[in-house]
Amino acid sequence: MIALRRQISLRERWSALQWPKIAPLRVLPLLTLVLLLVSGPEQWYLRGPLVALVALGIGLRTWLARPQFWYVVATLLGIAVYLNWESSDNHKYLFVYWCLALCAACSLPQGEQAPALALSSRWLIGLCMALAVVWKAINPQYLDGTFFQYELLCDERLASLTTRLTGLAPAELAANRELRELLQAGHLRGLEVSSAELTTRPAIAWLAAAMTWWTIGIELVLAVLFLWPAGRDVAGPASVAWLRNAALVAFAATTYVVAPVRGFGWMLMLLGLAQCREEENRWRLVYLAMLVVIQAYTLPVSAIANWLF
Amino acid sequence: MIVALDRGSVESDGEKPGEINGIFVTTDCSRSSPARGNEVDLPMRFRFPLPTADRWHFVRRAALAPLALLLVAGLHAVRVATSNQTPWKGGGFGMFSTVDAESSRFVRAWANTEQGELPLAIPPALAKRVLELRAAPNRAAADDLARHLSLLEWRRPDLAQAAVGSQIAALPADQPISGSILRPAATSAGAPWPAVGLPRGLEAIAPREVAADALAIGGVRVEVWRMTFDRRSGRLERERMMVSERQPSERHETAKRNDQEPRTKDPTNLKSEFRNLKLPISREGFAR
Repeated sequence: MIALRRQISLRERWSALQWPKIAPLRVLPLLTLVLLLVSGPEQWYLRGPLVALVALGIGLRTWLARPQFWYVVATLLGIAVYLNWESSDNHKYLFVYWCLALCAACSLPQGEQAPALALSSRWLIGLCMALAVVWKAINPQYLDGTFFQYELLCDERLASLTTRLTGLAPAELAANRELRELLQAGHLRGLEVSSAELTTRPAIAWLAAAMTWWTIGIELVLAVLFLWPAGRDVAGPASVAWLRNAALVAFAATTYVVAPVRGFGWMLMLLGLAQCREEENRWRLVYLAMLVVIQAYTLPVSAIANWLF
Repeated sequence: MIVALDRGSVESDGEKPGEINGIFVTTDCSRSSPARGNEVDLPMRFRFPLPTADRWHFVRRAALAPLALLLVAGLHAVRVATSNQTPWKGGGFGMFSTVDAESSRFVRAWANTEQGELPLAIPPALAKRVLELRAAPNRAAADDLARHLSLLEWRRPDLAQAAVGSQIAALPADQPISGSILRPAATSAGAPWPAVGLPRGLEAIAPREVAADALAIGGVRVEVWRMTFDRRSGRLERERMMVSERQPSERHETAKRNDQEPRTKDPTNLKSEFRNLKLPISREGFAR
């Protein structure tokens, strides 16, 4: 009885907490500027103007509500992607679409801006996930686990995870990467290497299979949830909205701890925040917290732990 | 409270929905503040139907970015299907789906010399062309890279380094060294090659540098490869995707077309010829 009372009391206190209110149209443009500053184009001829625009946007905050501002930003980002398509990751394209969505939303009457941004964001997330699923589903190398086995053995970003979960030593993984390097550039040292046998463990296959099916599974769930027809209410049914948010946060929490691609993670969190329903202020706070978590994922945790202990 | 919209205004109280020109809007007094001016956040409980014209206007604006995404993704799919483009690049969201990423593809270049076929260390100034070739290998891009490589001057980096080293070693320890020592006038041509396993790739000579130690280059060959991985054996193998060769005659014809003298004689000609290449020269270009 006492425990029940304490539980009720905790629940009451929880719901009575005054959570800070997040107004998407005020917060999202500013967060976008932060995103562009940390993950924007690297070419000097685009970075220079973009940083200047960001400074102007922060100084003259009313500009952030104008479609012209976002049109110029989207154009700059689009030029960056067009001129450097061979090195532009997919999230750079998403930056362009997001700024275009901001531009389009700002061009609408004020009452329609947030709903338009929410609808654009939902479609962007849904399409991005649907395309990711299609590419994985049509690729036999992905479905049979080859891709993740290769990544676990050769991708430096996954080395820490591989070591922890499979017992492969960091030196063995480093040797795998060196073998790959020899295969690619051995000719510059007079070495003609035509094949290399990577060091592996049986656990790699299990881990790769788990990652393969988790990734395509969660992406498929996200694609379905975010492309679910909205019906009469632009925000969509409440139950679907809850699932959407939970799935997107689960995706970000599990994906970016393994592959800390901050730009993509932040972009998805901004899109997630933008598509929240009016009453979902707590989910907005969760998305904001996830920005911090994704940033924390980029910290060299292993090195810090080794240094401390 | 009064909520102002572009199409007019409405007066409503608290959470009760009010209708404006057919748009159902739920107002929320706690969200708006006169001090914020045009930053007032209206709630998102926004329901269809709008009047037809407004609805299409709204949907068109909301769908603009997603349509752009679909357009680019469609183009990307076509390029992957027809041009060997990697699904990782190009905006189709095919990342983390295949081993055949641009990082698993590599470009090798060779030059025909009097000493035989020698590997070329492709200079960073051509990195963008190499990246493009890796992301979407095609004959024209490979030929273009071969042409650019054939127009450059090449030397053995070990000889230049050895010459610099011997000059520095010959100086008294307390004597300061100057920049001129880093550009030795002559190298010991015909010296033995470094042992296998040490760097042997020829390095490009910067356009402004006097090419006293340039090697005579015949044809240039560019190869594009990709790696494949067999999960059962854990074996990484390579597979050639494309080869492009630039014959010496073509190289000389290009030089004639550009009315260039042999470049080893006059560094100013080198400069102008390099300018004709229209390379995207980066700050770190030729810094190796």
